[in-house]
Amino acid sequence: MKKNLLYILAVGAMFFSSCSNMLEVDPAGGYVSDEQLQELIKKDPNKVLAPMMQSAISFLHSASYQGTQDVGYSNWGLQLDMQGNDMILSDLTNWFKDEYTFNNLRRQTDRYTAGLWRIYYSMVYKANQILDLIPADAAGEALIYKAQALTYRALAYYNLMYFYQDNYMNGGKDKAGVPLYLSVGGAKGRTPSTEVYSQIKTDLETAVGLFVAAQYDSQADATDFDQDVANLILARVCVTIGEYTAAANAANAVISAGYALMTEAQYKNILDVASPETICGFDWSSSNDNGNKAFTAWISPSILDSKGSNAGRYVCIDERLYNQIPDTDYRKKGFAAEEVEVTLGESTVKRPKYTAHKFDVANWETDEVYFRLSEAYLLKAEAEARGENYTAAQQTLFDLVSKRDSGYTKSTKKGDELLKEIFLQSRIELWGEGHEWFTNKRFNVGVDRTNSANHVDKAVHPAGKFFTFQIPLSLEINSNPYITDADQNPL
Amino acid sequence: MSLNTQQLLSYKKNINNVHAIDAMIGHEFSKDEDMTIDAYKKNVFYPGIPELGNAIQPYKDGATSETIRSAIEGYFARANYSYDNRYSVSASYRYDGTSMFKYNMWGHFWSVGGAWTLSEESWAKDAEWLDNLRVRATYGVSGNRLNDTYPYTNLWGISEMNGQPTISQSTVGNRDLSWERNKQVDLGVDFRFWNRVYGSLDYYNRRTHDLIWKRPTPSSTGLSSRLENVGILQNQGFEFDVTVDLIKSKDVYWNINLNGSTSNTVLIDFPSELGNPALGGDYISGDYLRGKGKPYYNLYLFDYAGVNPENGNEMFWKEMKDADGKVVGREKTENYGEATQYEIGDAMPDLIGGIRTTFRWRNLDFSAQMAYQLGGLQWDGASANLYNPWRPGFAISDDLAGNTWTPENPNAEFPMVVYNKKIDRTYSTALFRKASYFNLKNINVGYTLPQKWTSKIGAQSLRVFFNADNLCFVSAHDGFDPRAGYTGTSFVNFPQARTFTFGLTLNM
Repeated sequence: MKKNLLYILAVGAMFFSSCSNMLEVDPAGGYVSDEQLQELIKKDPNKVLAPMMQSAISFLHSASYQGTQDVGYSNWGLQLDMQGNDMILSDLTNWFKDEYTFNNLRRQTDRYTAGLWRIYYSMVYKANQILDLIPADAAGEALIYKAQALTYRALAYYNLMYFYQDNYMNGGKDKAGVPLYLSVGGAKGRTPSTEVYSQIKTDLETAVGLFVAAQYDSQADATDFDQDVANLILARVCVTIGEYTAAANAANAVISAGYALMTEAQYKNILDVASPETICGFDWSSSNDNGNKAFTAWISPSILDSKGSNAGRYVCIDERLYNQIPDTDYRKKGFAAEEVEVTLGESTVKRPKYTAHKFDVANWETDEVYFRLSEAYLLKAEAEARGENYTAAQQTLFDLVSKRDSGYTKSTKKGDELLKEIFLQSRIELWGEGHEWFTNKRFNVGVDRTNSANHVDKAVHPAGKFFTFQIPLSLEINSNPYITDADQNPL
Repeated sequence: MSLNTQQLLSYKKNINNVHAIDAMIGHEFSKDEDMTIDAYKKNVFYPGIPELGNAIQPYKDGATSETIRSAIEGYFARANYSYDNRYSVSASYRYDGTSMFKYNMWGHFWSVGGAWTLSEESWAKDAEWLDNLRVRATYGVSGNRLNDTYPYTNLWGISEMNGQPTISQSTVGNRDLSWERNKQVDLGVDFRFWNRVYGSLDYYNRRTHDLIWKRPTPSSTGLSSRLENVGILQNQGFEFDVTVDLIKSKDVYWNINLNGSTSNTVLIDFPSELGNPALGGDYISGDYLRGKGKPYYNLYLFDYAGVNPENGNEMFWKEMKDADGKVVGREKTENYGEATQYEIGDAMPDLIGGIRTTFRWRNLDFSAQMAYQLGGLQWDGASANLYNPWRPGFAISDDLAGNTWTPENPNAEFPMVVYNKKIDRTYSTALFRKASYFNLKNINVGYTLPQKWTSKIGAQSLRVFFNADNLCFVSAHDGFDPRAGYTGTSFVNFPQARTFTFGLTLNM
C-alpha cells in the first residue's frame, strides 16, 4: 500500500507540475498580433507607422467592394463617371451597365451604395488606426505619418459628404452629414454637415502645416501623400463650402509646387506616375497588376483579353461634348473622330465613333493617377470666378487651356458665363478621371441625355436629391442605434 | 506536429454485487503546431518534374512559411456509483484551459446525473410485458470554444508593395473572449415492452451563456462584426426513436422504426444597445430579425405581392402609417426601395426524422429507409437562378414559359421580362418555400440462395440484391432541395444522384 501511495504521489507531482505556461501561444509567421505590434511600437514607432500608412495608400489601388469592375480608386471614379452626361457605355450587357443606367444605385438596399459606404469608411478606419498610435507629443518622422493619415481621412470624408448629402451650397449645409469618427471606436450618429466639413478643413490645414514644417519634399515621390495632395483636396473642400479665397490659395500652392503641365507628346501618357503633372498615383509594373480588372482594362480600347473594349464594350465620349472641343485642341485627339476597323491580335473589331483613346495603352500594368496638376488650375479658376475675381479666373483658365488648345484666346466672360466656360473645360480636361460626378453636383447640374445622338441610355435626372445616395440599410442602419429611418436620406 | 499527453488514475470497486463504484481523475495536454511552407516558381524547364529547382522564374510571393500554434489543457475527475443495478448517480468536473483565450484561459465545468431502472425493482419483476424501463436525468455545464487560433487579438498581415513594407489588419480580435458555457438538462426514458416495442424518448434543453457570436457593428466604424461573449441562446427539443417488431415468426420477420426530433432555437438575451428602437429593441442580422424570446432564425423579408396586372412590374407589400407613425394597413408598391420587411416565420423545421422498415420472408429480404421534414422555410436558390431570363445566355426555368406578363396575359404569375432589368423579388418571400420534404432514401431487395446450393461451390452464403438510392423526393417545388441547410438561406447544392445497384455478396 505504501508503495502504491508513493507511486501515486510521484505521478501526481508529475501532472500537477502543469504545462500551463505552454498555453501562452503567439502567432508565428503569417500574421502579427496587436501585442507584438505594441512591443515594436515601444521600441520604434516608425517601424510600424510606415508600413501601416503604406498599406492605407495601397488600399487605393487594391480594394474593391464587389470584386470585378470596382478594384481601385480609378475604377471607383469610372463607376461615377458612368453616372453623368459625358461618358457613354456602348454595350449594356454586363459590367458598368447598372451605373450607366442608374439602376437603383441610390436606394438603401442596393449593393452600390453599400460598397461606397464601406470602402470610404474603411479608409477612415485605417487612418484612425494610424492616428490613434501617434501620441500628442510625437515628433520627427511620426508627424509625417500623422499628416499623411489626416490627408487620407480627409479624402475619405470629402467623398462621403458628396455621396451622402446634398451639395453644400444647394441646401446640404443645413442638413446632416455623415458620422464623424476621429479615432477607432463605437457607433455614432450623423454629424451636421458644417461640422464634418470644418473637421475636414482643419485636418487638411494641420496636415499641410506638418508637411511644410518638416520641409517634406513633395516632388521626391509621386506615389505618396504629401502637402500637394493635401492642398488639392483642401481646394476641393473650400470651393465646395464657399470659402473661395482659401480654395484659390490652396490650389495655387499646388500650381507653384514645381509640377508642369503636359505637352501634347506627354499628354499621350497621362497614366504615368513619372508624368510632370502627376501629384499622386500608383506605379504599376508587370509583376504587380490588377490584370483584367485594371482601370485600363475597362477604358483602353487596345488591350487584348480585356473585359472592356476587347469584349465589344467601349467607353465613348458624348458627341455633344466632343463637338464643343475645338479642332485646334489636342485633347480632341483623345477620341475617335470616325468609326474604325482595327485588328487586335487575331480578331478584327469595329470601334465606334467617339471611342475614348485618351487612355489608349496596350497594357493593364499602366499606372494609375489619382491627382494631377490641371485639376488645381480648374479649381483655382472656379474659386476665383465664384469669388468674383474674374480677371484672375480668366488668366488661370488661360494658363491651362492655352497649353492644350493652340487656338485658345483668353476669355473675357464674367459671372455665370465664365463659370460655364470653366465647367466645360473641366469636363474636357478631366474626362474619364472620376471628376464629372462631383463637378456636376457642385455646379448643380443634373443628367439629361435626351438630345445626345450617341448615348445608349437616354436618362434624365434633374440635379438634387437624385445625386445623394441613401445610407445602406444592412451595413449601417440595422446595426447602428444612432441612425434610424428618420435620419435616412430621401429616396 | 501535434503532441498529446493524457494521465489517468482510475479506481473501481464492486461490493457484494450491490454497490458498484468507479472513479477517475486525469490530466491532459495537447499542443498543435501547423507548419506551412508555400513556394512558387513558374516556367518549368524539363517537362514533368515539378521541383522548384527545375523552374525558372520567381512567381507570386516566391516563398513563404508560417507556424500556427494552439494548445489546450484539462484537469478532470469523474465518479459513478450504482446501487443494485437499480439506482445510479454520477458526477464529473473539469477545469479546462485553451491558448485561444489568452487573457481568460480557464473555465470550470461540471455535471451531475442519475438514473433509475424501474424494471429491476422487485414489484416490477412480475410484469412479464415489461422487459426494460429506465429513466435518466443529467444536468451540467460544459464549455465550448471556437474553431480558431488567435481570436483574442487583431491580426495584421505583413506584405510588400513596390519595395515598401505594408501591414494591414486582416482579422478583428477581442481580448475579453472566453469560453461559452452550455447549461444543459437531459431527461430520457429507455424502454422495451412485450419484447416487441422498444426505443427511447429524450428531452433536452441547452442554454448557451456567454455565447460567442459575431456581433454586427455598423460599417461606419470600419468593421462589420466582432466576436464577443454576449447573449444567451436556448436550444431545446424532443427526440424519439421507436421500433416495433410486427411479425416475429420462424419464416417471417417484419419491423418498422420511426424516429424524429424537434429542435427549437430561441434567442433569450443579447446586449440591449444592439437593439434598434425603431424595431422595438430587436435587431436585424442578414435575413433575420432577432429579438429576445424570438426564434433565432426568424426570417425578416420583403414580402412579394405579385405582378401588377396593369404593367407587368413586380410589387411588394408596404406598410401604411398614419400621421403618428402608427401602422394602419398595408398596400402594394412597385418601388422595392420603400417596401417593408416583415417577419415571415422561423426558418427551422418543426420536425425532422426518418422511417425504416425491414421485412424478411425465408431467404428473401427487403428494407426501406425514408427521411422526412415538416415545416420550416428555405430560400430556393435554384429557382432564383433560373427565374432570371434578364441575363442573356443563361438557362431559365420552364415555369416561366407562357407564364410571364404580357398585355395579352395580364394575370400571369411572373412579371414582364425586361432586358437588363434588376430583379428585386429574388430575396423576397417569392422565393422562400416551405421546407417540408419526403425522401425515399433507399430500398434494398435481396435473395440469399439456399445453403445446400451454395455449399456445393464452397461458399458460406451467396446473396443477390438490388439497391436503389434516392428513388423519390417530394418538396414544395420541383428541383428545390431543402436538405441543403436548415437556417433558411443556404445556397444551391449539387443535386443528390439517384443510384441503382445490382449486386452479389459472396461469403467464402
